[in-house]
Amino acid sequence: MLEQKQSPLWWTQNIRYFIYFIRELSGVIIAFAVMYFIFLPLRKYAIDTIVYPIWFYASVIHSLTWFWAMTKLAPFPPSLENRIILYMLILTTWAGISIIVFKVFFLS
Amino acid sequence: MAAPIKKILVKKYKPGASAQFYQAYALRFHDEMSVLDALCDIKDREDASLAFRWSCRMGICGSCGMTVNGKPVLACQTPLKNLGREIKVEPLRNFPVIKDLVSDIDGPFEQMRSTMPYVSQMSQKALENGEYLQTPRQRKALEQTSQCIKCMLCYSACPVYGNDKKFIGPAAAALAYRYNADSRDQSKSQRLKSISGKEGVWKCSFVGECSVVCPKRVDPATALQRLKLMGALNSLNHIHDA
Repeated sequence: MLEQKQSPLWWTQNIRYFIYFIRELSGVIIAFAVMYFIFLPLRKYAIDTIVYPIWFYASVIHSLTWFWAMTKLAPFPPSLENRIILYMLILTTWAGISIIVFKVFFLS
Repeated sequence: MAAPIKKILVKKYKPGASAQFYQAYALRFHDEMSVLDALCDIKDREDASLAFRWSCRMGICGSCGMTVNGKPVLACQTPLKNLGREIKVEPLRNFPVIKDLVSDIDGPFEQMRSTMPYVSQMSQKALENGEYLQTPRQRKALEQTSQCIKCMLCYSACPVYGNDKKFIGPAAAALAYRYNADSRDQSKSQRLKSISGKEGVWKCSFVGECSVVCPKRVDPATALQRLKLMGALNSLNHIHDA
């Protein structure tokens, strides 16, 4: 028998694999950014101006991709239309909460 | 008027060889042909040595799973007319190849056996006391996951299984969910214990491709996530009882 090894570029085969890969990669980036902020002595190198935007964009991408995955677990039949409606509702709720948190903690 | 021609590239493998190779066949086809029809035609007219599995030819046995143009599909359910002029046919990914398009799919069957795939009655009732009844609603709860035909397309699509053959996998998880959702079963807790753990349902990272390729719409991805939830609640119950 011939063993078939998974190609290291399996995640380029279709758009769903690619979105999954980006989702997981953004999680890794967030983890590194958190480690960076935890180890305060390292911050003497002052690369906050690079780390902050990377952390922000990785968090947004991670949230957006996970929200889409969450729509699959709805208690009603997950047709594409239902998933899109649920996704829009989740995004609206997320945006609303984000605005409130921003106003309360950063603007006040 | 002569029938149009399609080029079929089949990934072949001779047992004992170190690598696979592509062999091209020219096929005169008609609109009603499926990939399975094409392979049977090739085997009849051109290459009797071509090896592939098939049986029912109507999408119910799950034997003819293979990769067509990069997607795991049932060959009997894939019309040729929807594919391009050149069609690439390969064995299912993530499985060892025995010959040509025939893969060794014993691994996932072993995973399925480990999920206690039977209705387990701890308290048997006597025959004269009648059948074990289910309401239509109870029956509906297990209907979707009971449709699985064990075609292994989901394992072929799963990158987690591709990386680790010990992972329980989508079809085995769907089978476990089918029995856990069965109102007659009394071994839900033991079954959840057997499918939890490092190589169990928690190894799934919710790629979701298994549900996309499933020809019977079993939705194993959702079954896996529901089993995670069931397993977590089961653990909490155990802690509470202790």
